[in-house]
Amino acid sequence: MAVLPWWLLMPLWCVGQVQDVALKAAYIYNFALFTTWPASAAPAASFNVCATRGKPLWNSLQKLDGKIIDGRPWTTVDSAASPRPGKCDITVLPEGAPAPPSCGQASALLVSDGGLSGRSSAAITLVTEDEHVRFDIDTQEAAHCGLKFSSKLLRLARNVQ
Amino acid sequence: MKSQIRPEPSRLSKTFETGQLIAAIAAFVIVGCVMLAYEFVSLRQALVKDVEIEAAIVADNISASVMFEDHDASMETLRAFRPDPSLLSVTVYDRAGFLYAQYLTRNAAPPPEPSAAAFQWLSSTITVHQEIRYRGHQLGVVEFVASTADVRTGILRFAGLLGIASLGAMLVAALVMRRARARMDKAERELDYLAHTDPVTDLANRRATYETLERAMEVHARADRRLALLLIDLDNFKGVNDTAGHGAGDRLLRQVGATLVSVVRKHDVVGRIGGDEFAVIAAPVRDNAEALAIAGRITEALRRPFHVDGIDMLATASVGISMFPDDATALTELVSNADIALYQAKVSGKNRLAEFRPEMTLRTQRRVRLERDLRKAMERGELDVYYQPQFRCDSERMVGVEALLRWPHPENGFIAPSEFIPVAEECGLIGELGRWVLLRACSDAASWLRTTGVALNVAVNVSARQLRDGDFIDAVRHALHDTGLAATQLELELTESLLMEDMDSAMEFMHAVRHLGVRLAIDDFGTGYSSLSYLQSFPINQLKIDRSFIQLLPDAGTTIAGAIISLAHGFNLCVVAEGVENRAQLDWLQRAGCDLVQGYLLARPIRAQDISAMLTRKRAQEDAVTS
Repeated sequence: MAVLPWWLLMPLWCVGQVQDVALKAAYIYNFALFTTWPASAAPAASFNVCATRGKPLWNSLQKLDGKIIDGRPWTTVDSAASPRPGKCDITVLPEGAPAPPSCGQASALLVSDGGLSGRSSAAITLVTEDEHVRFDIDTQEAAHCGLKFSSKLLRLARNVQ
Repeated sequence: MKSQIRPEPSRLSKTFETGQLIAAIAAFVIVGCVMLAYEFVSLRQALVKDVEIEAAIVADNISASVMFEDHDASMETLRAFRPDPSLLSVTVYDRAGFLYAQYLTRNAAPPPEPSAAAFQWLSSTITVHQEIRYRGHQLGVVEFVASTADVRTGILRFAGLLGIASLGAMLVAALVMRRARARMDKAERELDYLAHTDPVTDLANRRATYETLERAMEVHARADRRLALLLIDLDNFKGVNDTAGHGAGDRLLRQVGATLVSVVRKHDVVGRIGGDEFAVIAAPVRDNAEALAIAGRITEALRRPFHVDGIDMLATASVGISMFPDDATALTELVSNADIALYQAKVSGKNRLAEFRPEMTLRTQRRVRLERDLRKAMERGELDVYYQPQFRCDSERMVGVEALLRWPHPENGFIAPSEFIPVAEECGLIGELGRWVLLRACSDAASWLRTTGVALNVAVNVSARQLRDGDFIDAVRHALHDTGLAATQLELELTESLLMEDMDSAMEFMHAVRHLGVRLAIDDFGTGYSSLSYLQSFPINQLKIDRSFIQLLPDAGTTIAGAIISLAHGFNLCVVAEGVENRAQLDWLQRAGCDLVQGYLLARPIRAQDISAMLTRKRAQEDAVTS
């Protein structure tokens, strides 16, 4: 069961907070699959997903630990306890959180669960619309961090800037 | 035409056209089937390939939508294949096999029932499955169902085109074959005509006649009816050919053929089976009388002269009749019997008809045996020449001999010349036989002169066949040259009838003989034409009064015998009386002034050595008297 894609095990018809959060975690996982990080960055041993412990997404993201992304295991890292943005491959920001000053050395993919303060947008912004989870992509932000998205992902985005 | 009642033979050209047509159709069908099958497979494979490509595109493009559970995006991806006319449905199943998204076209029908692999090729739809994978993860399966209607339409269109092309090709082939058949047909007709028709008379030839006879025998045997085979041989056709030429001979044959066709019944068949031989197949006939009536009409019709090249020619014929099944039930036997009857008709005198009788076979067998023995006798030197001495009538002194051929058969004794000479004439031995007798006679006469000093005249009979043989004059010349006999000592005897058969040839021969210095005698004078005119025109030296007149003497026949002697003397011809058997006859002849006599009274025919002995004896007697 562990090797199966996690989202297939999810009851998709279940509408609710828990499912919504789990779905968002799954989306973030999928974003990792459709994103290309710059090759110059010295890859860490693990695929670090930095999130804020205690936030709704934390548990769901943590459940994905161990899954392989580009040969590295998914590792959920508490960004508040150890704020090392340069070591994050994905940085998940809760809604309303302040935007980080830069992408850092690791060219982290900045995923925002909802809007960010002081900044126009993250590279990917998760939104809930009509009880459906959607996402917006800011390709400029992504390009700024040296990231490239698959066109397949861009096609599914609600808005692409 | 009566000679062409035989059934139309099956012609090669007919079977050729039918066979060629069938072969061409078969070839077109086979080629058409192969091409249709190939086209079907090609079209279907192309469709499958197209659908596989489409499925691969869907599988590739839909992966993100499936991963993000974006049904709208998935449907949008599926709908992108809407323009494909063969598409019936695209269905995406998730990894668990549940329906995730489906796009159905307006033509979409319920999913086809699973069919056996062997029949999947013929099904109206094709289904292609393609896995949806992304980075090694299987996300689901996309199923494409496409209609093969376009394949069927393409096949129908191709079949139509193929059919039209084949029809066009068949039309051209049919035209070509028709022309080829027309040429073959014409050639076959010509060959058939040449194979079965006599070109001179336009009648059935020998082969066609016998084929017709064979069929007629089968048909009438089943119906228990009789038929008659009439063989007709013209009596003196060779003479016509020799004198008037082959062109006139052919025209005469044509007229004879036409005459035969006109006198036989409508359903009888006339054919020409040899140079001057015709056959009539009279079928059916009730009895012998009906066959005889037909034969009678034939001989009667041929008795009338034919007008050829401004000359009236006689073409009398002998007819032999053989009845089926009375005389024979097999073809060869029937023909053989008719031939035997024909031979008998000829032997019994020309312009006759004869029905076959079993005893004729015996006669024919005897004739065949005679011919075989004669050949052997010639090879073995069993034949001999006897000499009938001729005496001066007044002094009874031997002055000449007549050479007579004798055949002492080792088993049957002496065979009469009247029996074997006709056989020799028929089988062509007469020429050799005649030359042998001539040479032997000349040789013996020369030998007598050498041994006894007496120059006897030697008379040799010449047959009709020898007269016709252009080489006979050369044979005479060589005989005289080789033996050294004086030409004046040789005398050739010809019969009246022989001379009258072909006057021109006879005249030419006689002049040639006389030119050599050889004497000529007319044998059996008084029994034939006895024309006074030829006595004047023929360059002859001697007449021989036939023995039938001499035998009547002296009580009867004196008028004829006296007249002949006077007549001969009137033309300065020597007269010989043959068959003198008693003194009274000789006395009368002496009184009448006959020149020479021969007969048993004075001497029988004896061997050459006896003649020699006789001459020696006479000379000794004369020498004794003189001394």
